[in-house]
Amino acid sequence: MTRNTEPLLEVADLHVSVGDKPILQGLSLSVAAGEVHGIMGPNGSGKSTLAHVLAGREGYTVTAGSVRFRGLDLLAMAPEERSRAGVFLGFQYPVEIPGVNNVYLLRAALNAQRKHRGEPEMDSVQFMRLARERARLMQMGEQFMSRGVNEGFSGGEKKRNEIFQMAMLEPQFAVLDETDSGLDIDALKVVAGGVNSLRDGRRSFILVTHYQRLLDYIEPDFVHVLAGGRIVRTGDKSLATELESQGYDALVGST
Amino acid sequence: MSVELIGNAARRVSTAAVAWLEPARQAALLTLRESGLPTTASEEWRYTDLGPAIARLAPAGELRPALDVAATAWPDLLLETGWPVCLIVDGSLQSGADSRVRQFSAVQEQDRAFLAGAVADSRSQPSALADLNAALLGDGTFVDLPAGVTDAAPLYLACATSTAAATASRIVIRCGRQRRATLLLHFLSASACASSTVVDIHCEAGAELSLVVLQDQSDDAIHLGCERVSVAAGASLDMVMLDAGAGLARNDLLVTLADAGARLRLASLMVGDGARHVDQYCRIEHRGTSTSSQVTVRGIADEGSRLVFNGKVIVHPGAKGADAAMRNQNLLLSAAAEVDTRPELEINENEVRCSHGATTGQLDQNALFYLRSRGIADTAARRMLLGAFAREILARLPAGLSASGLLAGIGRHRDLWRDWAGAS
Ligand SMILES: Nc1ncnc2c1ncn2[C@@H]1O[C@H](COP(=O)(O)OP(=O)(O)O)[C@@H](O)[C@H]1O
Ligand SMILES: [Mg+2]
Repeated sequence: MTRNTEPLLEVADLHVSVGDKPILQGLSLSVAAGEVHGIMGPNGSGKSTLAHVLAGREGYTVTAGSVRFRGLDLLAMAPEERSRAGVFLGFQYPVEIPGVNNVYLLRAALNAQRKHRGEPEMDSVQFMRLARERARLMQMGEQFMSRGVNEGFSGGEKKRNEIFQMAMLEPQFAVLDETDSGLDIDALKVVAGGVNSLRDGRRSFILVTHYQRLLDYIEPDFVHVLAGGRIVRTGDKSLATELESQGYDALVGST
Repeated sequence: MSVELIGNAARRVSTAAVAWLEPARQAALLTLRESGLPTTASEEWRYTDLGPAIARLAPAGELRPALDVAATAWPDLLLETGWPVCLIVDGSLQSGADSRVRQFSAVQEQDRAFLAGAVADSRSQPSALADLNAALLGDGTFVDLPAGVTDAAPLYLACATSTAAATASRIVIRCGRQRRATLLLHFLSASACASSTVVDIHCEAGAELSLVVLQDQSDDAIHLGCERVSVAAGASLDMVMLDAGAGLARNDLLVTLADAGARLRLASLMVGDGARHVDQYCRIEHRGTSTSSQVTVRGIADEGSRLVFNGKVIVHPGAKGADAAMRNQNLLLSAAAEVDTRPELEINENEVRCSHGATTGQLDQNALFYLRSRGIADTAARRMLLGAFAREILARLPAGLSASGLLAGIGRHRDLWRDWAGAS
């Protein structure tokens, strides 16, 4: 693999523990601008841990290694700073926050990002126009917008809401953690359409998934297998097909 | 701590204007002498020592400097609501352009017996705070909402204690048969004071009263509040309490659901910060059949504050079909803060539906991370979550009293309240 640009994200020899338990054990990954990387791997292999560590969640100890994002030391930044710098995490389990309105959160988030970039706040008319347009793209009705964040949403609605938020915030780089799990085929197409609409040759994605079918709709540049806290294989999208038919054990051996 | 302090203070209060209240005052004083002032040895007063409050309340019984209105935050609030306002300073009605509100000393003779009965009513719902208040009473305020009148504008009673004064205020509210009314009671003070405020509320058959009680006294004030409520057949009281002020606040809410179909809905929010001590005692008695009480009390305990919720639901024999739910939920935001909660049920009837529960926890870390991952700063995210917690209560404010309008008028933590009110 040859690249002529400096990577957007550079994870080098990352070791992460929860308590005394080592989870990531020397993970390295390089994502250039515009690329889509699929990450597959057995349950408990550390995929969500990687996603959380990139987004800055507390409770994980980085014992070695580094993460650079646009030349910044990502691990030294607070979660909100990472977000403003252009990192987005699509949660495997989006959190319900009754009492905080979905649209209120989005507007506060969007304006926090704009402020960070030195842009003026978006007025409510502009904002609502944009929100309606993006919600339509995700086939989310107005009723979702007026509710509390993910409050009473079905599993599929929560995942669509994640992509809706991403479409509003337009991050440079997104990690989508099993956004496809639990989606029926129609919802999967909607989600994939949302992601594809943001692909512009500069924006990058990591798609954590168990299923090849997501990668049929969002074509990856690379597919990695994460096992035992490390990336054990890297290939193109045919690796996903191989995994689907043979399972992890056959491909990576038991780790 | 001696009842004699109260007796001495009571002698200094000028009572000439309401001589007809004298038997009620004496009866209250006698009750206090007989049973003594409550101490922390009793269950109801376990967490709050009344001693310092009494010491401040009693010797200063005659101080009455004028309230410095300009120095308080309340005019904003008046402008916000546009409601008719009555201002009560140190227990006496200052201005009352509203025909529904009169001083005790100016009521018609036929109402005196009712008022004296209300003030002296120590049998149905005994309360040391009410007796204490009765003993020190110089005058009072009667809010009379007679039956058969509809659609009157809501009423705003601003009840202020002036600088350094120690006073007793009494408000008696009579909501007549089938009457629908909305009232806002706002307790405030300019600075250090000790105040005893008792509100007697009588909801007659079929009445629907919506009542907001906002306690927003200054940090160094002592607030001893008590609401004694009786709800008659088919009547309802919908109550929202916001406890946001005073260094020491103790409030007794005593409700009797006297007859068939009487209902109480209470949503209450206690906010503790600094070294505030807030003790909310709540006693709800179901006497009539098919009575209902739905109580939600929320507390936010920050810094070195202490919140107490002591709630009791009593279903008396014969109160078949009673439906009672009492919930207390608290957020403990600091290691130095403390929450004590004791919701209790006492059920003496079979065919009832009762539940109670209490939780005390911290801000949801998953929710906090979720908000921060969207670019919301840590402090702003915390405020959003606090706002969400508070809004469950604020959402219950009656129509015409928007949370943002009301809360913008709260003197303390104005930005915070505004933030809480606006995030929905
Ligand atoms: N907060 C935590 N506390 C303890 N163990 C954890 C925690 N988070 C993750 N783990 C453990 O780390 C391992 C990797 O988990 P995770 O990253 O969620 O895997 P994946 O997303 O690949 O299924 C699992 O063994 C899991 O039990
Ligand atoms: Mg996972």
